[in-house]
Formats: sequence, structure tokens, C-alpha cells
Amino acid sequence: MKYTAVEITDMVGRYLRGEMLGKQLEEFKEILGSNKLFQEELSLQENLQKAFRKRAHKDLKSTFQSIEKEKYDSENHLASQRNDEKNRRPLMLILVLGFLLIGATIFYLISSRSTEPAQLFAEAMSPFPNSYLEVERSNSSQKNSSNLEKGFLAYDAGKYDKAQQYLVNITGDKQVDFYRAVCLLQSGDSQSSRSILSQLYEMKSHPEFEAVRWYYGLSLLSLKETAKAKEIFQEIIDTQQIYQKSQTIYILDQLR
Amino acid sequence: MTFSDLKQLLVVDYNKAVIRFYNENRTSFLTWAMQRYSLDQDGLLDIYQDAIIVLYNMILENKVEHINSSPEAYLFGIAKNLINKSFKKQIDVVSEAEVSIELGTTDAYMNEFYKESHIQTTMEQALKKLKGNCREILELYYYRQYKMEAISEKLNLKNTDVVKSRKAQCLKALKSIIGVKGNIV
Repeated sequence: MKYTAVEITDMVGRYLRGEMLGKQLEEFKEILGSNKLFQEELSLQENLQKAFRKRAHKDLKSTFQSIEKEKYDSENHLASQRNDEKNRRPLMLILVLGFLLIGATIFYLISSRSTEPAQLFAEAMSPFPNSYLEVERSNSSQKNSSNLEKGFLAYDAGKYDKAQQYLVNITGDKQVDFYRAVCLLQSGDSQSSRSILSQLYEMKSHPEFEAVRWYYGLSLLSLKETAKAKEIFQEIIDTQQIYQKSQTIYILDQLR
Repeated sequence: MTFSDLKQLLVVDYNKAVIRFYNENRTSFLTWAMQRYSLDQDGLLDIYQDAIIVLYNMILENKVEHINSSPEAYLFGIAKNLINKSFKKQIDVVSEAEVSIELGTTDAYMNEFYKESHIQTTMEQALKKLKGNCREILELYYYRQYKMEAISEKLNLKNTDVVKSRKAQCLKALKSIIGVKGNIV
């Protein structure tokens, strides 16, 4: 029996989604077992599904890490502040007046500096989640681990200085270069980070190009190269990039 | 909340549903996990996040319909598997808070998150080059598991035949980008 390309695509799609049952499923499996084109189509659609899952995984991890940073870190800080104030009850009135005066002054200074590039960078910067190399989270000795494994183990643990020290030994891998650039940016070496990100950005073919572009913009912001940073962030908007879109809009709005 | 409730929320607004589930179960997960495992909070949160993503994918792909437990208990079961695999610890005692799940179930999802294959990298790059609403159609169909009618409604397409035809065109474009020939049998 002959099938059109549309029919093959449709049948394989329904099979993959579990929409084939009973006799229809049996017949399809027979075709699949003997027909190379169906097998190739299935392989393609399975890989497509995996690609979406992988992207969604990265995005969700990034979302969760933002939640942790914005919601739970600030809640822990507030809880600790309330406990301290209760313990200082005898001096409460004088202290509250003093804190109000200091708080008002700090608030004024912060709000008048809210468009400062360094401030925007600090608010926006958070390391890219590791989706390059799974590392064992075991507590066993890492004597035989490679620099790559040690580097990503440190990266996953948030030890970016250490991660960079291992990853600098890996050459010719642009994905590793990207993670190294993130480590440098996180550790405060924006100049070195910018240098790597600029090269990766110019290549345009990096697998994580959207992230490269975002962090490149951040590195420029950190170095107060505001005009160039704005260009990069505007490019993110103009190309309808999804990654970090809302943050980009916020930054551009603040830089106006 | 049942799996059915959770799936309904995911269909309406999946980001909001996932975030809500994350926030609602975070404290109970950390309380449960810290009592059983001598791991720091950051490590446990990493596991928690991965477990939610695995659960979320299973719900999307209708792989939870035979499960009698609550999503929360199932989530804890997934987390236990991930901890066992990551830290090579075998803890067999199953409390009421969790469900015993076969390791293969979680492995199947976690392996593809972490093992980079050339074809998947190529696929990701190709998806970025698709024009119009192609990427959205394919994502709604293959990842979000939307029915044709739902895709038609969401993207303001005339009917399901249009969706079917557009999906086929988009797949053809994708194949062209990655250099795969679509043939007639």
C-alpha cells in the first residue's frame, strides 16, 4: 500500500501520542517493523519531542532558580530581621526612628540609582543552569575525574571560581567556553567574560546562541558599555527571542 | 489535588500551574527529604526541581492515568529515585508520603535531559530556524500534547484540516533544514 508523506507524518504522530489502539496499533507496528521510511519518520519525530522536552527542562530549571532567588531568599532574610527586632524591645523606639531615617536615605539613594548599569546587572545576573554535562553528585572521591567533570561538579555546586579553574583547561569546545564565560561573569571578571562571549556571539552558530547573546549583553552592562549593551538587548527583542525576554524588556526600559 | 486537576491547570496555563505546584509542595518536600537524607538544601532543591519536571512530562504524555496516588506522593517517589541514582544510596523503606516507582521511569526522562546527542542539538538549532507559527504548532502537538481542535483554537486556524496540513508543512520544512528527505512510500 502506498502512503503520502502527509499520511506517514500523521500516522507516526498519532502513534507517538498514543492515539492508536487495538487493531489499528497492531497494523501500524507491522508496517513500522518492515518499512524504513516509517522508521526514519518515527526517529525524527521522537527526536523532535526530545528537543522540546530538553528546552522545556532548561527553561523550567531557570524559572525555578529565579523563584528561589526572588521568593525564598528574600523570605528567609525578612524572617531573620523580625526576630532581631523583637529582641531589641527596650531600645525599640530610638532604634525604629534611627532605622527609618537611615532607611529613607538608603531608599532615596537606591531609587535614584535604579537605572545604574551595575545595579541592573546585579538584579539580572544569575548563572545559566548546567545542561551540558550530567555529573555524579556522589560524595565519593573525585581523584579520577577529568577537568571537565570536576569543572561541572563545581559549577553545579555554585563554586564558579573553582569551576572556571578546571574548565580553562578544556580547549576547542565552544559549549564549555560559554559556561566558563558565565563563571567569570558570576565571579566578577566581566572583562574576561565579555571577551569570550563576544567571540561566541560573532560565531552565531552556538547551540545556546540565545543564552550567549543574553549574557553578552549582561557582560557589557556590567562593564558600563551601555550603548553596546542596549544594541544587544534590542536585538533580543527584534529577533523575538524567548529566552529572558521579559528581563530584557525591563532592562531596556530602565536604560531609556 | 488529583492528577486530573493538575492536568487541567497545565492545559489552561502550564507555567502558572507548574509554579503553583512548585511553591505549594516545596516546604513539605524539604521537610520530608531532610528527615531521610543527609543532603544540603541546595542539593535537595535541585532534585526537587528535576522531579517536578519529570512529573510534569509524565502528566503531559498521559503516563499517570493508571496511578492511584496523589501527585505529591508520586513526586516524592520520583525524587527518591533521583536521589538513589545520583548518590548511589538505596533506601527501601517506603513511607506514606511517597510512592515506589520503577527506576526506569525516571531514568527515561533524566537521561535525555543530560545526555547530549548530535541529532538533538541539530534539531534544536533547526527549530530556531522555522518560520511563522511552525515552532509553536510542533511544540503544541509533540510536547504539550494538544489535540488538533485545541491547536486550531489557540492559533486561530480555520479548522483541524488546516492544522494537519500546516503541521505537515512545518515538519517538511524542518526536515529540509536538517537535510532529511521526505519520500512517498
